[in-house]
Amino acid sequence: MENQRLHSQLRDKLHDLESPFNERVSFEAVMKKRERKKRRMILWIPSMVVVAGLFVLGGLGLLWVQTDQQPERSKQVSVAKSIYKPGKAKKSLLMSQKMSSSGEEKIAQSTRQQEIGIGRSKGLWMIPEADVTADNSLESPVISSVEAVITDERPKETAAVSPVTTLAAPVELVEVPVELVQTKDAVPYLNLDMLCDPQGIEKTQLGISVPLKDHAEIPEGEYEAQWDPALLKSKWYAEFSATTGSSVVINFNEDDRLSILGNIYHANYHGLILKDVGKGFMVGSGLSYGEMVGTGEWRVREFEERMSIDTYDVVVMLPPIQTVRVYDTTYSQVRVETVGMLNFRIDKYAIPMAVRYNFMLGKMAWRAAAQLNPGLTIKTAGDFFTNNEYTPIASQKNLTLDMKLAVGPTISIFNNWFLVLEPNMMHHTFRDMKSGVTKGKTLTGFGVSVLHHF
Amino acid sequence: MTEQELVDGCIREDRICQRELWNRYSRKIMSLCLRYCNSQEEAEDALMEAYVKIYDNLSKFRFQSSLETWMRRVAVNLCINKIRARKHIWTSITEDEYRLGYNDDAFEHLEVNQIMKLVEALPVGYRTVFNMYAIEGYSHKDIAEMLGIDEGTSRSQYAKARKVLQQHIQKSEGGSLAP
Repeated sequence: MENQRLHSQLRDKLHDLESPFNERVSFEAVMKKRERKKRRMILWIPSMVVVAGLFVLGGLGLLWVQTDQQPERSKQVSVAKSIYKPGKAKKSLLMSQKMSSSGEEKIAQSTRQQEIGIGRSKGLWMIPEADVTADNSLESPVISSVEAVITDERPKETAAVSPVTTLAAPVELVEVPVELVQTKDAVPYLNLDMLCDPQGIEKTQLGISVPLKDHAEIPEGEYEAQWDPALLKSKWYAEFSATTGSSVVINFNEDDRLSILGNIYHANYHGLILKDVGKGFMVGSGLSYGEMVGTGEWRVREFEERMSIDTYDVVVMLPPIQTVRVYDTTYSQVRVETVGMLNFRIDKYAIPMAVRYNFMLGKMAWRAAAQLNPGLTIKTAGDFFTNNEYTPIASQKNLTLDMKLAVGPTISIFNNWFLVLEPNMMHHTFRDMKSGVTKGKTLTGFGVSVLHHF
Repeated sequence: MTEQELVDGCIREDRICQRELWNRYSRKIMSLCLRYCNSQEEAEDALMEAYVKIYDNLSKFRFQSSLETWMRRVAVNLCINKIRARKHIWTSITEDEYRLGYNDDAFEHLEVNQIMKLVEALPVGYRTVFNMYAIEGYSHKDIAEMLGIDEGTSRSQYAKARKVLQQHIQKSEGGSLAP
């Protein structure tokens, strides 16, 4: 009662109080401010269209890159890069003995070359092309401060008071606003300007405030009757998001036997239902579809030891004149590079578990996102590769787990609609069910999320 | 001009109606903004922003409350968002502090301007909750939802505000604020 009286006194005195303001504040100034805001919106909408267009183009471009990499028998090229002769080896003796027993000593030939394994032409070894077929062809050719919208209007729910069916005369259905039927569950609705509870609105210590009885009751009166019905605020959000990312796979280490040069791309799309759990946090789940595609080439750099034997027939002019065959055996190491193409594709569905944290930095709303996407692959093909290895994906159905971290600004686009621009980092892993091997790759990229507040 | 005509005119972007809306309510809204904001300049900015929102969203007004009530609600929300953006830290109090007595008759002897001065002198957390609870008529539950704080914190902020106001009034009984 004391409270009611106090409040009544204050309201009586302050409610109709009028305060002056400076000259800079005027109707014209408000109108100018409004025009500026409208102009900003006019500029903002086309820029959003451009961003969306770029996003679509990026997706199409990715698809084009993938389709351009049709699976085919991989070409392989073998090139002899260098030759050196480390000196005559002891094996020459062995070869000499072997050849001397063949009975060809009397062949009058000044010089003859023998090749073991490969042909030779005047000191340069030509290594024949290896006709090796890569086993990594794909099964599929396709590689492919929000505006505060305050309304006293309730949501469109209505409660129908149905007529008694036994009445003979037709009874007109009457729609009654929900607030007249049920107001106890009314939840405050006003704070649409804030996406969620930002940082800084937290108490600094735990305190127990047990209200007195006269404080505990919700004040009643004309004011409350006017205020409460409109104070509805949903805690539920829907999020639609598209995320892309890429990673360049490249190995410049000349010492490695296997080097892989390539690119890995991913595109992930998800729809989520999120719930505001307070303190700026939202949690939710939904459905996600993702694609990860890699294209590149592998290069194996090997040194092969080659042996060559040169034979010379030397005529000994001392009596008795005879011809002596000399075998000149040479061992050399040749660097051979073998190159092949790589492709892989992993398509997957997942059920994301998402956490979002909304906070303010200055006047800008930001959102940090963390997400786990456990799921299953629906299609896999090709060889998955990292910087220094590639392995064929043995099975079609594999377990996947993606982890995503992102942070970016939240921008209001329309009433209850928000756009979140999210640079992100996403780690993709999958477990090959046949081989039991888990592989993964971290990609960085950019995502766009559209958030709707119910 | 009735409220209906005023609103319809503003929705049609009729400058005469828009100006009338400004002339009719701007000083009252300014008074409200002053109670929430830290300075005259901030209150003036809030007033202009509130009017921009009001003009933009008048089409959503359904006459389920008075136009003034709706406009005040817009302004209160805007002020709250400004306060939230300032990252004000809300503190809780103990039960003993909460149960401190209070002389409700004190305000009876004060003039409006004196009350305004006292309210404006409150720390921002106390002032916000005090304004919302005691003057605007929100419940603690509503305040907690709107400010993103616990209901207990709202109650404690209000109790602290009362305590500080009481101290100010006691101090000023022999001073300039005395009636």
